[in-house]
Amino acid sequence: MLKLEQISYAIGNKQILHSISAVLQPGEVTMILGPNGSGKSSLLRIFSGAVDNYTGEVWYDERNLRAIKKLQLAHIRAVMTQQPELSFPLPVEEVVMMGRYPHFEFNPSVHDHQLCEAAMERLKLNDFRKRNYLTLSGGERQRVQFARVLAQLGEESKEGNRFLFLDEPLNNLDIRYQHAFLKEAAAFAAQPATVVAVMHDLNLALQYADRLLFLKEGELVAYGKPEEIVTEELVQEVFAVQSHILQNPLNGKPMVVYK
Amino acid sequence: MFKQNNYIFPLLILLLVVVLICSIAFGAVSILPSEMASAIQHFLNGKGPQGIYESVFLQLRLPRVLLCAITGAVLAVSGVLMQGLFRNPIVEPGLVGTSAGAAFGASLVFVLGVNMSPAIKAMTGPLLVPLFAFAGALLATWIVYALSKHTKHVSIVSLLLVGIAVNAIGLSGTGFMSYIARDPQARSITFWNLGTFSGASWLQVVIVATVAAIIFFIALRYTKELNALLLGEEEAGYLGVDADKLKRRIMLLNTAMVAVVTAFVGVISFMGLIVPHILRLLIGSDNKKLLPASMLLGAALLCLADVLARLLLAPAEIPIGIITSFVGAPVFILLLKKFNLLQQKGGGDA
Repeated sequence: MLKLEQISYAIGNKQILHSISAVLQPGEVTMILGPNGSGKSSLLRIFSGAVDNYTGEVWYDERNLRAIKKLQLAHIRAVMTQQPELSFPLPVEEVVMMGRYPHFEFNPSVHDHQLCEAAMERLKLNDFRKRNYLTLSGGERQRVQFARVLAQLGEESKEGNRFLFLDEPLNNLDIRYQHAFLKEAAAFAAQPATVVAVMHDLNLALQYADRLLFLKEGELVAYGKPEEIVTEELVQEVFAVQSHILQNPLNGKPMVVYK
Repeated sequence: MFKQNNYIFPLLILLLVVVLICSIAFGAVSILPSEMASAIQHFLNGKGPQGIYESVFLQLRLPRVLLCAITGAVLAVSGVLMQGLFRNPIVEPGLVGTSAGAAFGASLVFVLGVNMSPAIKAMTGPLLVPLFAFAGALLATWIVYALSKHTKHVSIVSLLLVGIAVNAIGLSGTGFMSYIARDPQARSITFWNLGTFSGASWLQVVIVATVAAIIFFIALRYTKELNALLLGEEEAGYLGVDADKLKRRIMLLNTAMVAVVTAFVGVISFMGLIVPHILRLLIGSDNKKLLPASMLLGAALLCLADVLARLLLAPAEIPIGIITSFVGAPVFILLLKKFNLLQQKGGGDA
């Protein structure tokens, strides 16, 4: 369970987030949506532990984020940022192995190797393992990074005390892999784990999210189950776009078309 | 692109052994491997060296070659550490002021040393120049570090920029010292700035070897963190790496070892730059392999350069820094061209 308690954050005089509170449950995928500059990525970076000059509190189950050491946190929480660069060439398998770095001292164990294999298998990276990461396309790199964060969190645990955070994970992905990614994210959440993703595509969010969190100008506008909170009025309020909500004939989920 | 490179370590070790034997054998006096063996045997039996060849071997050649090998290893490892830390392939150990500070410290002794009290000279003995060079190196690096610090965060860009400025100040200080120096003193400064192993002694070998061994041992424990840092500081943080702490520690290790070797042998450029580059092309950038491989190749290449320094104008000796720059710079340009081509090919399908 991830609990946000009145999170506020300012950079200089600019208030980025205003008192955001929410409880995110394991077993669910929560997607954060909002217009550009609404504070989505800042919020994700705060509860990921990359920023510490926020006010309010973040709770990982019973533990306050401020009291968790970076290395301990890396055992239970993985973050996939937008397009991480790599300064020097490395083979794909070593980039995936980085996910296991928090878990071993000097040499990876057999277990670490197995988890990396499993993650590469899931993301269909077996043919890429020896390739130089820098020669991959943007979408292929995303898959490597996704495999890396899956490897970091390791194998299933019934306790639901693992946290996967994805910042716009669908950048550069084709339609097939967009759906494949979100299915993987949903499967991971079901293990159970707490999964949070910052998203741009409202229709993909409606299809795959268990809960949606809408931000606008640093304020929480709505938080809840998609079918309960998403209305044409909400889309107008958050994105300033006129829309109409239909039912997707293929899966029965709500979908939005825009004027 | 990356083949299985299991053979690279045996090859590097073989290369180092061959180069070490050659660089002991060649010089103003040639020493046969059989003489090396018997000298070692005599030494182990507690006898002194028998004859001129054995004493040249034990008192001159061996400490020189060992000092040279350790220096090469230190400079190459320093290159790996700095390039990993700055996440920039064209960073050199001298960049953060260490070499310039050392050079200035040494030039102070060369020029003003004549006026120093005999008591200080008696106390420090042959370590007078190294002590000043070491102090200069630490001071300059500390200034660079302190000036580029914003609150508790050290920005890489400002570290580089302040490094350039402090290097310029150190160079102008050294230049001023040469200007006011008398001829022989000015020559000492010039030689020191180009590096030399001609003054190698067992005392130097012991000091440098001890420092290098300790620091290599510690540095090997940070290879994982340096790899993680390649993803960026924020991403490394998500993997449990405290990037600020890592930067402080690597800077400290690097400065200490570069300052110690520079204090004894002077400024030797390009080693820290080209050795990691050659190895990146051969085995990739995984610091777990790059760091130990750099030790071996750095040691071998610098010994090779020292053999050239001794042989090219024999019996005179060319300062080794001239060799490393003269050979190193073109090699570096070639590597850079090749490296760029590889990257362009790689980016094509993005």
